[in-house]
Amino acid sequence: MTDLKRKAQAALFRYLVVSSLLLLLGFIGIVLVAMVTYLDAPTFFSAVVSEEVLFAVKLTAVTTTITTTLAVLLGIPAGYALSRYKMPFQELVDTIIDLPIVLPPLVGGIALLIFFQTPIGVWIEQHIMPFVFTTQGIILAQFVSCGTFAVRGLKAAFDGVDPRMEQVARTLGCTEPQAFFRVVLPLARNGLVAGTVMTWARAAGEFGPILMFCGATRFKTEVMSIAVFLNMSVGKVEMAISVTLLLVIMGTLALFAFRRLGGRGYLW
Amino acid sequence: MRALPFALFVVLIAAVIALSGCPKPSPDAANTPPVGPNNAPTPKADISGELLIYVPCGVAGPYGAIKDLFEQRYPNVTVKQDVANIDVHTEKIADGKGAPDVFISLGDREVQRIAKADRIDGEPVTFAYNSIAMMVANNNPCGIESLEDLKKPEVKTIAVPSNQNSSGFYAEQAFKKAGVWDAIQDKLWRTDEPSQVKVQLSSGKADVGIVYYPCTRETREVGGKPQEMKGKVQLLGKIPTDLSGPIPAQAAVIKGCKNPEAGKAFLDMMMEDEVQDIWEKWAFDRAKQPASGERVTLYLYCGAGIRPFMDKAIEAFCAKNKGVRIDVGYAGSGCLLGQLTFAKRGDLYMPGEEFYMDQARKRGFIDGETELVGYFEPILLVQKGNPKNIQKLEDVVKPGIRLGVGEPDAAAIGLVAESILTKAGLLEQAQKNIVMRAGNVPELGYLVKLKSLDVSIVWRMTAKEIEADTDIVPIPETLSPPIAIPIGVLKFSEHKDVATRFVDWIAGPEGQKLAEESWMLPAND
Repeated sequence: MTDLKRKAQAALFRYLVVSSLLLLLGFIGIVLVAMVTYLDAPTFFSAVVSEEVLFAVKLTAVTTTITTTLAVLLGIPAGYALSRYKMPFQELVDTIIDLPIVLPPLVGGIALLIFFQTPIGVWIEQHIMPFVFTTQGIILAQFVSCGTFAVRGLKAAFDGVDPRMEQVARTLGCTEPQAFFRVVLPLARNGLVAGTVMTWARAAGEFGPILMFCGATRFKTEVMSIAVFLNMSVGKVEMAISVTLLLVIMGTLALFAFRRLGGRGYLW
Repeated sequence: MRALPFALFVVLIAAVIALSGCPKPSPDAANTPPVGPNNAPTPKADISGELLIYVPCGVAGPYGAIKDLFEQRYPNVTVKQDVANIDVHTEKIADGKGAPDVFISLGDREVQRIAKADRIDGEPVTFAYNSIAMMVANNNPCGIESLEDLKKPEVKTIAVPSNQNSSGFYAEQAFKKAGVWDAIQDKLWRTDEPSQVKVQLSSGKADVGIVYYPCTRETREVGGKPQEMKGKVQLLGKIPTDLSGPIPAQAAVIKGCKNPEAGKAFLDMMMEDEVQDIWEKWAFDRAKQPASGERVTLYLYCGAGIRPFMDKAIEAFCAKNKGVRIDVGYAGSGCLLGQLTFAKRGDLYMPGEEFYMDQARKRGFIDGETELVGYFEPILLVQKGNPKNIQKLEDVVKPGIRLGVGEPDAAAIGLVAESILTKAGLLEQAQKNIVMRAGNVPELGYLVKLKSLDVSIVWRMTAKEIEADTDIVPIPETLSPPIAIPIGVLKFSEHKDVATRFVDWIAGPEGQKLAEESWMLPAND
């Protein structure tokens, strides 16, 4: 192969790779721009400061944060266990953990509804707190898929850490927990941040299970995705698009912030 | 390095605490405590005998329902009634010719007259507030819009009960306050028999008449259902109570009657929530709001297409019924059916079509009868200014028209669109123009607004919300019978009384008025 040919091939390869990326960026860009051009600034700002949207933003912020926190607190040990330990029925465990992702979102909500008809569900609602058609139910509805997302994302982060590092730490005198906290966790940091980000993003965009399990009730279960739906149902297209745009902006900021913090190691 | 896990923990906890300053999900939001103290007194077992009640013919309907309640509670009492025009009763009692155990009046003037004759035992009870209304011949030939219009020369005769009668007395107050009293003196036709007002109107001898507002629903049958006015007259509107003043509808036990004890028990019962509900159902205003301890949250499954109407209806209902809160879950009617099937809770179901209600009934979810709230009327929705010049249904099959319809399996509007096109013989031709099959009506509305469709088949109510950005082309009614919208109480409901009160209200005059304002066809047309 001549040198020229080799260079041409490399150029072609780069061209293809970069143009795919540009295509994807362009696609997302066009969709966003189309949405933005439908609105004018006064409409957007008056929508954003309306009582309904403020409620939806607050509720979304609170519920997604709690959901993500719970999912990550559970997901870190669970992901570590999946990544490190050989378990009986490993494949079965993996499959079950992944199931909520393949379930159609509405079904996740129905499954929760059915669960709360069982004796255990009834007991929980009577003795701990009600969940069906309530605000706190949102967290549960988000958790169905977010739990899986967290475990998957966080396991991937631990997979990226060479087990030898831990073994070396152990030979240098660390106990198993010490090796985990002092070696694995810092090394997996970027991956863990990425996993957390994905979990949060998923929670913020969740709609189907909330519609089914909590109902689309104004000023009660009206997270931002439900606010979009409710506003569409009365033909308030501008309002719905404003909320969507706000969700995009919040998402962009949050994703960006998480990445920066993760990259610089400010998060932990 | 040792501090790392601890720091992580602190950050997460801090985040939760920081955010918990925002509105916290309240644990008892959905599960409010059951209805407050039951205000029904324990029945006195020793009441028996016969109870005779004088009932004005205008309230035979509500009286029947109250009588049923009374007989249930006091099975040893035989209730009898004398139903007649109120002026007849008043005179009989005042003259000492009749002594019923209870006298029910539609206002306070009659009771005052009897009190003057010293025939009342104890204190009269104001059990509800009444109001008056204007009635005209069908189609309002004189074009009357307000009390002011009564001065118009076209209005020659105004039939008003005499001021012996509460309706006449309070009508005078309203005329005086509206400043028309002096100007209409020559036009007045007064009568001691209020029932003559309708007769004068329908025979064309009067142009306007004053009646009690609840008369517009009256039935002459004890235990009958609320009626709609038929015949040659129509209701023009309620005279605002800030003009006439609220009219206390009173009842009293009559001196010298045979069974004052049963009479007093009957008056006591008039103030109970259940009886107050009955008066409200028959277009009276409550004398007593539901007990303040009552805090009820109802859950309503409501078709998403009905939301424009339902939001307003709930606001109006809850403003009147303090302590009642209604949470609505909006989604497609079919989706809601699935939801309530699994959740097995909630109080009310209101789908956009009878079909879904039938499903719910077949599965045994509906308690008792359902009521009609109104009708959806299908129309063609086009872009503002009708750029594609769609004037009639046939135009939707013109080449190049982008037509949107509902998915028949998912939404009522889909079934309807299909039947309209089939009846018009256009279904085949329309197929090539159908670019969108939506799962719900609002979607079809905003796609026209966003100019993604040239025309779609939607409800008139859908169009109301996007009135500024779209135009309407009607579909002939021969092709599209209006679609009934039912509401029913769910068998899971723990607050069936309150849920039923909401159903009655929404199917009643006030709900119907809102339905009309939301561009639905009211149920009673």
